[in-house]
Amino acid sequence: MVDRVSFSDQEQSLELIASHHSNVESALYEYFSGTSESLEDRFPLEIRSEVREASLSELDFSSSMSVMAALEAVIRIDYLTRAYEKRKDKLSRAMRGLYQEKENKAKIDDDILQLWAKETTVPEYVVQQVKAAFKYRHWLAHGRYWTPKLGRRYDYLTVYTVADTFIDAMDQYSASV
Amino acid sequence: MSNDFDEFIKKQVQPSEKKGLSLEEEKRIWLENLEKLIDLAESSLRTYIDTGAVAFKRSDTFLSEEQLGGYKAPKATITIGRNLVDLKPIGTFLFGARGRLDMVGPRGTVKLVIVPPNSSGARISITSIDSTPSTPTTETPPEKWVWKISTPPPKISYLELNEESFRSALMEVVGGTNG
Repeated sequence: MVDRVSFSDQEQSLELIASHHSNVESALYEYFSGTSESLEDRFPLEIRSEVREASLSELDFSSSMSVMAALEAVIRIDYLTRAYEKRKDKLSRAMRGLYQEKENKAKIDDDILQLWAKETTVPEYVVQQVKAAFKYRHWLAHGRYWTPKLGRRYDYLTVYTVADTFIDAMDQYSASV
Repeated sequence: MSNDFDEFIKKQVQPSEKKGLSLEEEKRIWLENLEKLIDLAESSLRTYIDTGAVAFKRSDTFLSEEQLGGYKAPKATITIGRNLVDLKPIGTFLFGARGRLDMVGPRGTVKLVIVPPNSSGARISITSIDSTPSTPTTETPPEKWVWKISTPPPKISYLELNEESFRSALMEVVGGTNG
């Protein structure tokens, strides 16, 4: 039996990520529409909107990454908590079974999310979207060097919507048992 | 050819009703919705376009989506003084929406999404533990879904889109309001 994970309490909430994203987005718009010496020295007027779009696009990628990392933390903390505690609901029992087999090495998509799809009334299509969003996270985390096949378009707004929807569904499940 | 193979080919090329709309229908509805939105944008600025205070230019852009491949879609550019605002289609295969267009200006971006008419936010309701899980289908047919303004995270909500709210969004991305 491995040691229990010692939770750090340092995980980001979706709200915190959204607030940081808005701050940086506003700052970029402010900078690129301003008249600062640094802006005028670095970029001629005619390419400023292009450079602004490139920076906003990179912000979108990094915020998407933060959202998916935060979602992973929520899912793993929930899994481990269900494994450590003796809750009686179907999902917690199944999670304890999974923990006995794989302990801290349970995979998010193949193991933990499978149980959310199988043992709860969280709609299958929502779980599928979460899995696809993790594929997008994988693509981001590994340098975006291949053309991903995700079926749908993912960006900050879509991964935020997926994560927020799933975390809310997790909360609804927990409140219902 | 065996009948089995015939049946197999039919299933592959003709999505059943259970699977929902065919890709061609999805694309047709998406492109029609884009035209409707660009019409609404132009109509909301008609008075200013007629006096020459605002320029409204329609054009095409090239989109590429995994399920549809590459295709042409309508877009528009609004010029107000020295400010350019792009109405930029993003795509139709998204989570929870049948399409999105971003209004991109010098001071911000407002996102417009195609959602069911009664939808006020992105969250879903899960059914109780003993009942049948809900499905993504909604009673509103896809053709009846409408454009709404999506507010940014963390509280994503969908606001009604009409000529007045379009003009407000335009002011926001150009920097005419503090919103």
